[in-house]
Amino acid sequence: MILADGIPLIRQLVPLLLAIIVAVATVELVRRRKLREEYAMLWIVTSIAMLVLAVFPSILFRLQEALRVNYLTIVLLAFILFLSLITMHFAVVISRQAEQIRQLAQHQAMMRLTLAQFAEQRDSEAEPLAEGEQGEEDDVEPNTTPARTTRALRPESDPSLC
Amino acid sequence: MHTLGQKAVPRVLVIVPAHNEAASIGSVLRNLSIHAPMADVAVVDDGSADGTGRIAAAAGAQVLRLPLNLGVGAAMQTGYVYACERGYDIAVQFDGDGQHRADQVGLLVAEVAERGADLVIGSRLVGRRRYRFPLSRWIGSRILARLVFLTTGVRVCDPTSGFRAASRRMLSFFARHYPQSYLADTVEALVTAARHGMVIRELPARMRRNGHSSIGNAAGLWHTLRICLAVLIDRMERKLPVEPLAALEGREKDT
Repeated sequence: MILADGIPLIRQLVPLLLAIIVAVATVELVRRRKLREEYAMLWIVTSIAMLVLAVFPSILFRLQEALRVNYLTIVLLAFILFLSLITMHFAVVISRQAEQIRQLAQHQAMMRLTLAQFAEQRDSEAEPLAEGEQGEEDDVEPNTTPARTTRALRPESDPSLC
Repeated sequence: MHTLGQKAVPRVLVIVPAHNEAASIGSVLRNLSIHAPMADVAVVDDGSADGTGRIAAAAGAQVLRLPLNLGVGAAMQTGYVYACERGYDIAVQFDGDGQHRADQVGLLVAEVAERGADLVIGSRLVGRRRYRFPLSRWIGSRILARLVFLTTGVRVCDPTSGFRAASRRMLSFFARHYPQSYLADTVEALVTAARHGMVIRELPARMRRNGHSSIGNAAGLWHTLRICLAVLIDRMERKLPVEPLAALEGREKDT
C-alpha cells in the first residue's frame, strides 16, 4: 500500500508515529502544567514540521537533489541543526535566568538590610520615650538615633542614576 | 578633604565581599574602623555557611546577606548597587581575608577625591615595598598586564589586585554592569572601565602577606588563560552608555 509520493507505507509510518508522539507528549505536558506555553509552542511547531515531512517526504527529496547528498545525510543534517539551535536557545534562556536570579538575590539582600536598619531606627526612637517618661508631647529628637543608621537610610542621591 | 577650599567631605563606602571568612572578618572590620574611620563599611556576605554575616553585623558593619552563593563578581556588584542607591561618592573594594591594609584606604580615596581618577588600583607591584608573588602568579600577572595594555592602552602593573577605589561615575557604572566570571572579574572590570572612558590610575599600596592565595601554582596558568579569554569575549560586547538610560531620557525631556 502506498500513501503518497510513491513511498512504501512502512517508511512513512515511522516518522508519522514520531511526529504524533512529540505532539501528544507536548499536549500532555502542558495539561499537567509541566511545560510552559512559550516552550510548548516550540515543540508544537516542531511536531507539525515533522508531520509535514512525514506526509510529504518529497520536500526532503527535492532538498536532497538540490544539495546532491543522499537521503540519510539530509535527515541527519536537519536533525543536528535542529538540536544545535534548540541547545543554543536554551543556553540563552539559562543565561537570562541566571541574571534574573542574581538580581533577585541582590535585591533581597538589600531589602533585608534596609528592613533591619528601619527596625533598628524604630527601636532607638522608641527607647528614650519609654525610659524618660517626661517625653510627653515632645517629638523624639532625631539625634538620639545612631548617626550611622540615619545617614544610611536617607537617600541623598537621585535613585534613577542607579 | 581637609584643606580649605575643598569640596564637601566625600561619603565613602568600603565594600567587603566575604565568603566563609569568619576567621578573619572580625579583625578586618576592626582595622577598618580604626584606620579608615571616615568610611562606612558594607560587608557582602556571599552565602556564607560559617556565620560570617553574623560576626560582621555584630562588629557594626552594614551586612548585605546574599541568600545564595553568587560568586565574587556578583557579590562585588551587590556592594556597588548599594553604594549607588545610598548615594555614596566613592566606593572602595576591600578583601575580607585580611590581605589588604585598612591604613591604605585613605590613599586610594584621596586619589579619587582630589585628583579626579575614576578607578584607582592599589598595586602590589609598584613602588619600593614590593609584594612577593609566587613565580607562576608573577608570570600570569605580567601576561595579563600586557593584555590590558594591548586591549585598552592602559598601563598597569598589577591588574589582578582587588584593592580599588571607584568614583561616583565609576561605581554607578559598576552597579549596572560588573563582570561575573570567577577570578577574572578584576581584570575584566579594569578593561571594561577603560573601554568606557574611565580615568584609571595605579598607586603603590602595602599589603599583608597573610592573605591566603586561593590559587595554586599549577592552576595559575590555567586561570591566566581563562582570564585572557574572558577579556577577549568582553571586547566583543557592545558598549554601554556610561550614564544610565533613565538619566539620559530625563535630560532629553528637559531640553
